[in-house]
Amino acid sequence: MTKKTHPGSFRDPSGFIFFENRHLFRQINHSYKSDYDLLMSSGLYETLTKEELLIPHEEISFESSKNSDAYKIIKPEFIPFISYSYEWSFSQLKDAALLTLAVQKKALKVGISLKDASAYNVQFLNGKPLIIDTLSFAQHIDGEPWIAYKQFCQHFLAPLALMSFRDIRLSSLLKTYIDGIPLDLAATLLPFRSYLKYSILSHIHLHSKSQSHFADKAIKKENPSFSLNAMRGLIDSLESAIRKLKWKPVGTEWHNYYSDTNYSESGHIHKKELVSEYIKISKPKKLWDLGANDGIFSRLASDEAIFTLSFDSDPAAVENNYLNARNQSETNILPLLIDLTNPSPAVGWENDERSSLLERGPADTAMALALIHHLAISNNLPLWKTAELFSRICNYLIIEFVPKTDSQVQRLLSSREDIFPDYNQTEFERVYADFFTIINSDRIVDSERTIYLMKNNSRKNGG
Amino acid sequence: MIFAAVSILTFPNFAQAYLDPGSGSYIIQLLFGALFGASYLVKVYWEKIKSFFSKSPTENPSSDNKDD
Repeated sequence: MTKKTHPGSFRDPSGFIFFENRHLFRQINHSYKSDYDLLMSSGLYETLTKEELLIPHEEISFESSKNSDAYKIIKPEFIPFISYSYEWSFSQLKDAALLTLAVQKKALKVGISLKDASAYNVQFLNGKPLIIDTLSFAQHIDGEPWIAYKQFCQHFLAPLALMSFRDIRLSSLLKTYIDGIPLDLAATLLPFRSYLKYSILSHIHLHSKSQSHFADKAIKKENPSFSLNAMRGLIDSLESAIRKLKWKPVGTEWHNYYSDTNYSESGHIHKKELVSEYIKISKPKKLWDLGANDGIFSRLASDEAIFTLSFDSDPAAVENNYLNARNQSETNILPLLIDLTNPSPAVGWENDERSSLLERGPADTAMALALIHHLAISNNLPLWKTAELFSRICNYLIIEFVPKTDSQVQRLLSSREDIFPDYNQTEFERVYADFFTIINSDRIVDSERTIYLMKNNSRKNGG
Repeated sequence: MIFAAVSILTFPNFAQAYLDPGSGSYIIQLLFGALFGASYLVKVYWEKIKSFFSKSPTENPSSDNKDD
């Protein structure tokens, strides 16, 4: 038996997450006993889990893991992939924010309040966000303001306001600032017109001023008088602020890609058939679609009940993908904002609190459709470097080779010198043979493109 | 609102227990508390008035509206 504490679970004295025999558990310390018992006895746990707002768990016998601090050990429902707020589209972050406020409202009804409002406490399960930190609930003390207010503004309101008012790409600041975007930075970056919005003025601009004004001052904290109605009003004001923030997924790199591509209708259908066939052969339980655009090919897997991560580097593509999945109540697809040329790094204390993308793999099958030319030509990546990366993240690879004669590649080369003499199909197969064995390959009708199914040479039990 | 905004910059600093870097987040909630509470009550009662005129007398208001 091996017991390993999760490296991202050390800040909360109420308990921590650990792995034992490859299962994930959460220890609840005696110091959190009264709050945990209140969560369970108040009916809040039942309400929230029934409405799929909080992760369900089972209490387990913990003799093997017992230590003097342990009050209980719980086993939460398994989350197939942990994603982070800097990998979410605008609406994913917005839905996570609204979830947090909805949970706080329900908690207040039974005298409980969220003591954390971190975006890292939210994960997507079956297509919907839910709170995963069972230790975030504490008895509400009459008169006390919301202790998680600052965190909520930093983790949700500030990034959403920046994405909406200034630039969608500013969500990447969440990678740098692990406890959310500092409000003084958000206030500096927001345009003047944001001062005219009451909610942004109060929750970001004045909030930031208040923080700097009181930063180095000793203040009295006796007998605060923040009524329950004031608390409800605060949550209502934040909810209204979040709901009003909008972003339309237009004007970005791949927005019109499919209407601008060079497949004939029969070629497009044939490509879908080939991808479906290769997915069936590789029999994945989890699949990563590495350049998914709006997820049209990802759905060939997710519609077959395969858990599918649908990556793209374009915020508009990921947003459209998520909105489609949400509208159709799809449960097996998770769109994420990932730039394969610069995937999410490991961040936080000891570079260990949040895992890098590669640490969260491998996938059973990865798909790199209409992607290789962008990696090799737009990003100057040698073919062997692309093969090496793919060999680290999957057992099976479904990859489309796009030759230089293809109009899309010609377009990439039109504005630059052709310094890629080795970019051809023969060299591609030769280089990839060092890492993969070709199982199948087919030319897509009405095109010069070829799709391959390859098996990783270094993984013996793929699929 | 204007009073609260001005207060943030003119608020007297009082002594005793040192709080934490979140002091400003704590204080601003206390400053805006009355405003949040009042606007919340106005909203709740406005919703009730609207639902009174938009629904027939036999319909029951939703439990969520009652609670929120």
